[in-house]
Amino acid sequence: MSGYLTQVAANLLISVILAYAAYVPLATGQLNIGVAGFMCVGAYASAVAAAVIGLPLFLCVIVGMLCAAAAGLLVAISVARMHGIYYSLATFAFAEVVTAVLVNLDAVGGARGYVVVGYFGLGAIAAAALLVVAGVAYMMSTRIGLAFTAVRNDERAAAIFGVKVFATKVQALVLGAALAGLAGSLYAHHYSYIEAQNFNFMLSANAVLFALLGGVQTWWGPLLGASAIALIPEFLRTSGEWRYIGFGAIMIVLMVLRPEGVLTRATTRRLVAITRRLTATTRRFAWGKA
Amino acid sequence: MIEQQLINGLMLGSIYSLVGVAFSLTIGMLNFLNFSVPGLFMLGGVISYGLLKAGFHWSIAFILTIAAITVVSLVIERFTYRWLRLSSPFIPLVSSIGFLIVIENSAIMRYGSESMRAPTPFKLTDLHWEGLFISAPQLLGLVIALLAAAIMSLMLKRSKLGRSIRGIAENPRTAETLGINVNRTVSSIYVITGIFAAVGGILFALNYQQVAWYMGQEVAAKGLAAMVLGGMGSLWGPVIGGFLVGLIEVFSIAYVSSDAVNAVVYGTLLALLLCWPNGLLGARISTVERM
Amino acid sequence: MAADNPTLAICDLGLQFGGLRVIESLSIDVKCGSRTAIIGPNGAGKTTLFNLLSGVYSPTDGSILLNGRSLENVPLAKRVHAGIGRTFQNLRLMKHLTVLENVMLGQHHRTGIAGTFKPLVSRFNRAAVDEALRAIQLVGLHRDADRLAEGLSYGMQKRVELARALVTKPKLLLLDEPTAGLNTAERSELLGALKSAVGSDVTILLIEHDLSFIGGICDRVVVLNFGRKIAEGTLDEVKTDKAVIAAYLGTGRRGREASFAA
Repeated sequence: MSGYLTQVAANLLISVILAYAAYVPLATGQLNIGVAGFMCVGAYASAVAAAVIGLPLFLCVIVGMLCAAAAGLLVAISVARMHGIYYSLATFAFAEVVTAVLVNLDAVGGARGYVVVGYFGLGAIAAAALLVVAGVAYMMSTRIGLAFTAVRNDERAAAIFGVKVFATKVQALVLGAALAGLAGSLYAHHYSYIEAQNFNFMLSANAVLFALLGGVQTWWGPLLGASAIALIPEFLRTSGEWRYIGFGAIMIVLMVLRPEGVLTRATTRRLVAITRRLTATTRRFAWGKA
Repeated sequence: MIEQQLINGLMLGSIYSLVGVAFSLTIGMLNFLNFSVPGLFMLGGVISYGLLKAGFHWSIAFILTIAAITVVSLVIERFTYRWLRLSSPFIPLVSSIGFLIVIENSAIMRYGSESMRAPTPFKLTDLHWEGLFISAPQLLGLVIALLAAAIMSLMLKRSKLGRSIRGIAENPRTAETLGINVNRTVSSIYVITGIFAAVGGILFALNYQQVAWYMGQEVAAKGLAAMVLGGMGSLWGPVIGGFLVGLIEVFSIAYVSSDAVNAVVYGTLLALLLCWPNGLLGARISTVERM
Repeated sequence: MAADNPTLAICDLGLQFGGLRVIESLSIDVKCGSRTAIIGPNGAGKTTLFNLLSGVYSPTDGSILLNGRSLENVPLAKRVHAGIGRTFQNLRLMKHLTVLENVMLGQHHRTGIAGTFKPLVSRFNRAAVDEALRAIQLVGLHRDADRLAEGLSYGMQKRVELARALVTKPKLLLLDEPTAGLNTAERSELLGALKSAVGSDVTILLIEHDLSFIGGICDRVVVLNFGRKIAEGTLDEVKTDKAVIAAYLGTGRRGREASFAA
């Protein structure tokens, strides 16, 4: 594979993981706009584990995920009872604190950035992304997914049927944070160089957009959203700014036309139903009963 | 020198105050975190820069800038409120991020990605008094910020529009049945938000004599901190919060280090959200959920 | 049947919102397996009583005993474990879930670890799916089990709510206006379903306006007005009760406006 294609593929796969990091809390109705903060924690923790402790690479990833999850737990238990804007602002502030502190931490290079030892190729990233998609898809098909959707749709009614709302929200944010940590760790070991300033608000916003544009009603949404947003600019072979303006405009218009995201549950079901009806009609004609 | 730091902090804070009020208005009235505010702030600075550069008199340039921001705000209103009233509360937020992306990249297209030196349109004498230095544009900023908040507060209390706005903040549906023109009132809220942000941007350009496409981001984050500190959804809260953030920033540069500013400001923001979410003056009405 | 020990004992219950007394010194005993209707004009506090029973509100005075156990320290999310299942006046189905999934939410509180990690609607979870499908069949929605709740008619949503409440295996079933929005045929269907599906060990409390429906199922009627109990007895008894007639016709009650203004 050419260098350019590898870059596009790695970017796409990490975007997919990041999309699920934003999606899991969103599935319980929590808008985490500090995904980049958790990604940053994962990236630095993993890089430090590799350079300072010299752990094997896959253990570094685990360390990165665990650190991000721990940060997620800390944030979750303090903010999961908050609502709406308070919640989102708190996650935003958390991410800003993380990058502001790391920029000042000379032990990890400060504002100069940090060189990462240990390299992940495209194959490892692809395997991780596949695991994430499959894992989240499975989770959403179980009672955990049922609880997530119930909490998103109607917290109070969910509680009346015995769903532990607070615990569910904490789980979702922690799991999302762990996924962001995974994305960060893979990013660090693929690009071999990290800078805290790069884990900024626009990165968090992108992660949320992947999920919301694709739709949070089904686990397909973030996959579609991340793929479309990561790939479409590659096909729009125009100058950089037009690309972003087009991207922003598409986002604004899509939110008006499909406020629940491109793929809603009703849409996916309608697609399935149409396919079924088509095959049924074909069969009827084939049997001559029409 | 502590007095000088105090003055600098208040001057810096006046810009945060304006941006904080811009955020607070849409949150208080519409429960919507408007991420296009940094874009509007930057447009205020960049458009006035462009017009001054083109040779307009400063008064005309500023009036035209405000007019342009009004138009942009009305467009944003259509896409984040009017056509999205029934959707989930995340959606307007996402659309406003979309506007931020469009606005910032449009500025890059027109003016490039480097920061530009803004011209000084009029001469003002800086003040020196017993060894203290007060820059004239900064003083102007302080006065305008306080004046804008005072006018807004008076308008909310006295005018018909103010009553409509308060009615919508209470409950949009009831307001509509009571004969308040919701669309027009919400448009006005957006326009006022835009003007507050744009005035902040113009003052920033006057003060620092620099404009750039990214100038809104840093200031907006501080404005958010100001709003949370003072109280989300209130008017005077963000004004006071803005001054406090300005002071925190100036003092942490002076006594900790200039690199620690963000850590201190955002750390304060996070701590406040966790421990004291209502801020200094904030009082958000909680509604009893009906079953 | 332990007829002497009531399943539900509401004793001197009171609820105040600020200065407004929504429920005032209300005492009701409900026998095990009985079917009691709560009626009363709008704003009488019927749904509020249900919200107190299911833990949405905490009472300011008095106590609620379910099978002799106080519900005082049982939080909202544990009431379903205590055996309280309910439906809502304003429908509260999860709009992004199918009928089947909504009903399976009713099993949530009694699902173990193993059940949590199985794919919800799959052959690995057959017992739970079958149980939910039986409840759906009972309310006559077996053909719509796979539809999303957001596309259902009002009457259908009502029936899904009933199925969901039944699946919680309640000891006390709270039905908030079960026939609202249903036509006559659907009402009689629902009556049949309730009679056949709900065992005699389940106590039902229902808020209802349709007197013939009440006559078809309930053995007792409690009448509320302004948060107080104004009458209690069989349907025929309360129908002729002077206080009840006055409450519904709005006569003979001084201070009605004053109460609303409070």
